Amino acid sequence: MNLLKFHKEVISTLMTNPENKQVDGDGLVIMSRGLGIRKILLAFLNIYSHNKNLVILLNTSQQEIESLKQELAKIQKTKNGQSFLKVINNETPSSERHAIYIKGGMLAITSRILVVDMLNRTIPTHLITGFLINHAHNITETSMEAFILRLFRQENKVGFIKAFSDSPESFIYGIWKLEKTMRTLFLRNVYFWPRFHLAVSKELEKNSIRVIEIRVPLSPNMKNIQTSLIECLEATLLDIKKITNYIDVDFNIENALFRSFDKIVRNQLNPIWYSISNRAKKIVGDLKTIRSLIDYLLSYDCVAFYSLLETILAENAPTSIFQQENSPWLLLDAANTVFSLSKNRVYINTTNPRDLEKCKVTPELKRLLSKNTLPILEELPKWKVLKKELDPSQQKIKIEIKKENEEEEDENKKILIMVNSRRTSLQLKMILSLFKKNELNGSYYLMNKLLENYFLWKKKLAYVNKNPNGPVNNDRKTSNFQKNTNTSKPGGRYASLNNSGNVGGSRRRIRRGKSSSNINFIQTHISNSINDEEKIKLEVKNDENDKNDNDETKKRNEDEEQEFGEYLPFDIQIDEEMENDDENIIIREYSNTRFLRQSDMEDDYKMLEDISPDYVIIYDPNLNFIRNLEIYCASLKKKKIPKVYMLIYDNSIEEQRYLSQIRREKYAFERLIKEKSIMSIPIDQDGRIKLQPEDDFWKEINTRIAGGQLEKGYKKQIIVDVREFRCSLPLLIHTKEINVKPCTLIVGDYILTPTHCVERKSVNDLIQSFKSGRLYNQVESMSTYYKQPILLIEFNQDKSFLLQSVNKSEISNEDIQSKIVLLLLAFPNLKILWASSPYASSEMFDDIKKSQKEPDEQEALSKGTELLEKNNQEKSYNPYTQYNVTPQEMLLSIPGVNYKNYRIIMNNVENIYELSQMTVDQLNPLVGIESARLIYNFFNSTPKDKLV
Amino acid sequence: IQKKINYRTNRILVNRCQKGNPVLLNIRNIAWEYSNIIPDFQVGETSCVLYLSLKYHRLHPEYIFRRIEELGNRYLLRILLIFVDVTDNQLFIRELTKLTMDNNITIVISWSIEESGRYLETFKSYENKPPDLIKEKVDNDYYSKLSDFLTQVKSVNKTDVLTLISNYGTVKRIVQAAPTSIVSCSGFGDQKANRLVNAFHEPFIVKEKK
Repeated sequence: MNLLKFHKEVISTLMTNPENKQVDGDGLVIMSRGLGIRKILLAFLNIYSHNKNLVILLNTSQQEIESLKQELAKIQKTKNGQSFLKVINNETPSSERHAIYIKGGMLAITSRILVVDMLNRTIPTHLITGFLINHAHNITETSMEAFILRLFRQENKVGFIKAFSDSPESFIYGIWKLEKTMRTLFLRNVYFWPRFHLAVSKELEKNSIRVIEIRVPLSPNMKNIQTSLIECLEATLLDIKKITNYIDVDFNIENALFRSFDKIVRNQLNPIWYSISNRAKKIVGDLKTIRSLIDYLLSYDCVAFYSLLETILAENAPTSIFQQENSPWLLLDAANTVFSLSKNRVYINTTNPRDLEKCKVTPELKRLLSKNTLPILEELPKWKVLKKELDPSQQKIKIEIKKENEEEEDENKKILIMVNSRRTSLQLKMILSLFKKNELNGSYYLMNKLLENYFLWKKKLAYVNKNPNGPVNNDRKTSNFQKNTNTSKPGGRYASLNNSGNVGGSRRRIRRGKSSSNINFIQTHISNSINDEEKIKLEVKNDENDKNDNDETKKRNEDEEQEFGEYLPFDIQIDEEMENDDENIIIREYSNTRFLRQSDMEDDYKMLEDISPDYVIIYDPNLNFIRNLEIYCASLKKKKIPKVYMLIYDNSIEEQRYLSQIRREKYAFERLIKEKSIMSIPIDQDGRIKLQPEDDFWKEINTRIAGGQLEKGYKKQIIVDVREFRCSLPLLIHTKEINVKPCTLIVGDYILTPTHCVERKSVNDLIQSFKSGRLYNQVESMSTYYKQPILLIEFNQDKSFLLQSVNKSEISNEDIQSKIVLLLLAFPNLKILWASSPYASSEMFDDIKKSQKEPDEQEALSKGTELLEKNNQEKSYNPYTQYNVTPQEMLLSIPGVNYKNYRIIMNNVENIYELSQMTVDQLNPLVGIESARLIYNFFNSTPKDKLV
Repeated sequence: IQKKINYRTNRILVNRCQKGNPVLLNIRNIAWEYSNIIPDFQVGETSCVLYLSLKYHRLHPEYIFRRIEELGNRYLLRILLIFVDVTDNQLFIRELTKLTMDNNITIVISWSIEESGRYLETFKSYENKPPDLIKEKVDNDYYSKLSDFLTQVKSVNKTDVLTLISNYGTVKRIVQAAPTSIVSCSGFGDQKANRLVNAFHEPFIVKEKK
């Protein structure tokens, strides 16, 4: 494990030192992005992986754990390659967890599970050696990790807590975020390792890289679109300011570039979020849309960009299926410019016959073009540059610039191209394969194909967006264009592209058929055979033949069904061979933006080590990667360092963002260092000091017995549903010296006493569950089993303590107030707790519990079981079954699924994918014929059916 | 007088002590009249409302105790309608919650005088309305269901719903789509595409490893 000198230094500051009592092994390390915080984490994982320790790694995603495991296995080769990082997540049975804890070692545990285990005393808290906390900037006072550390420090005064973060910017938002985080983490020490730290910069200068920046000018159209988009952004922000009179953000372009910008605006609006109008909410959403459009402008090809714009327009059209507020920015002049210029990048309408004759398009596209349409198909400027750099004149790819006086010919030079996203990487792979076969007009085929797909898609969009309730006539006009294209060709056009004979048959076959033709399309370009051109033509012909066959055999309505076939603007499959090419050009995505697939989730640094490229082309600038590259080069010692080229759009958002990222990080560190110097840290912040004996005494006095008699071992208790551990209330209950007992409850969320049962709803939940009818059912079952059902309406502490204001003039069924009234009329015994924050909830709970009996766990567990078994005797209810939240919620929004049958579906169907494959006959035994039909129709009907 | 209280009426009955309360001006959709009743408002045969402005409560903390005591065990649905007109309200709400919990009274909070009026109106006008509105219902609006379905996945918005349905045609095909295929839809980044596909393939039941 190539540790640099400063890495070692970081590690040694965090190690316990028996001579110096000041150093207790605790600390928070904040490092510049990309400087190798992961290496340090790995080093600690390695150090503590011995079985005699019990060290716990928290706040780490499943994918990250997997990749850490792999690397760890590599480091620990000597130990039979066995990695000592054990994973405990929701797949580990609770019965086995205790044994794993006792065995010790290095454990990575899901926070929610650890909390439950600590509360249930499955884990011997006093034996824990320490905690490693990853991504410390995500920890807040009310997060699960804070709860864990609290429980830990209560019982264990010896163990260490080490926290790591590589996001200094996160610590400068809010008031005293650093200090608060340190208090939450029970830490007294913080160490900063910015890039400008002397030890770091010295080390990296020794073997520094030379980055050759290639500044690519934007095309005039792109430049104008970018300017106009920024104009829209500015206008939108002004709008928000006007509507709410509240926002206090000084708009500058630099601010607007980052995702955090949305967050700042949102945070400022949060206190009044429920009271601002839908219109204002919509505009806040627009802010995000426009910002991402600026990004897409630089990374999407012109066709995809334009089709995205069209989708946004369609969403806001008066005929839209979503009847909602329109986005005001679409009415701006600047937006108009954006739309017309984006269209001009794709095609223009011309009447000049000379132009039309001159333009060359593939025959397939030709059929779709209407008379006066001239395709322009502007390429992204970076493509051209890439083409120039990678000289395609020979069989092997070379870089022109490097033809200095190299010793040997560059047969085996490796070129690494780093891109931002999977999409870009697919795009480049296709373009490169086109260059490779020495196609002068490089992306000609690709772009033609894209435009072709675009026209097909646009037609479908028109269908989808026909609102049956809205004025339909408008659509006629807009779809005139499609009609033109429609009449110019016979019906069965699309069928061939889907390449399938049987309509109702297996979808898989259809898919494979299609993808194989696409692979062929690429492969013909890749293969170095001489008669590529002919091959392609042949294929096109084949396609046409197929098509003709199909035309004959197919009925017209079948074709129409196929029109809605899966046919994407950019759907081109790449086979495995292409994925893992051991060729000279390797295209990879940055690890921090990468498509999170477990197998290829590796660190940038490790990837550099594995590939050891001779040339690196940074296609999308990325600070993290450049740092990684620096570290990599520094650890190469005397070996030859790779040459680095960076492509950057001149005067673009991309460039600005890159520069200001560096600036912001530096600023963040400077501020943090200043903050640290004036921070006052209480001596007992580390939680290692024992409680006063007096506190222990007071804790044991029971107020329930007259005169406050002493009763040993007595403790107040609240039974909490395990699903509730996602929110912060259990933690806050615990801080009130009330025992929290996690259970899987069927009825209620919190059982306060044998008679009091609480259902907690945040405001959003409340609105949602009124809508779905879930709340009615929940209150109904609470009333059946408990004498005192309680609804807790919990507001967010950062948001306003306010419900949405009422409809001005009339009583409306839609108002949340009306629904509350209905609920109370239906359940007069229901009590409502109005809590302005989780803190308030915990106080109210405490009040209610006073002079009441403690709830019994077994009794609470047993309540409601017969509710479930009644429906389904065979598959009896298992209180330990846990359901995944998102699929469950999705399932519940399918027509035909309700609260009576959703559990049956979940217990008998694997996932949504499986559900989508089922026929009415298969669904019938589970949910009955009526629901079965509804479910089947939901999955299988096309938007066109809805027009009937 | 006794008779008057018990007879069926479609008006809100108001205690004379509420004279001058601005909330009366905000009862617009339902008629009301003064009557000799014990609570402040009678909004149904079996339901009553006590009204309390926090500003008043701050000055006369003993008032509400007296009113609750007077009310005794009368009425089935007993509401304490609190008008929050002070900013530092949490302590009062906590106190009143405790008090009402012991006296079988339900608290309803309103943040404006209009909202208070609206609550009174609604209680009366919904008096005999069945709770169908808040019960489960079969809603067959395809698109709202569709966007409900897809927007359950984090970061998927309505534009994306439109993109997906226009590209794939049916929900079934969306569910079947491979991540690489979804990435190619405009507006879908790697992360969003992956989240979506995961949601389709994640099992309903959390599997325990054997």
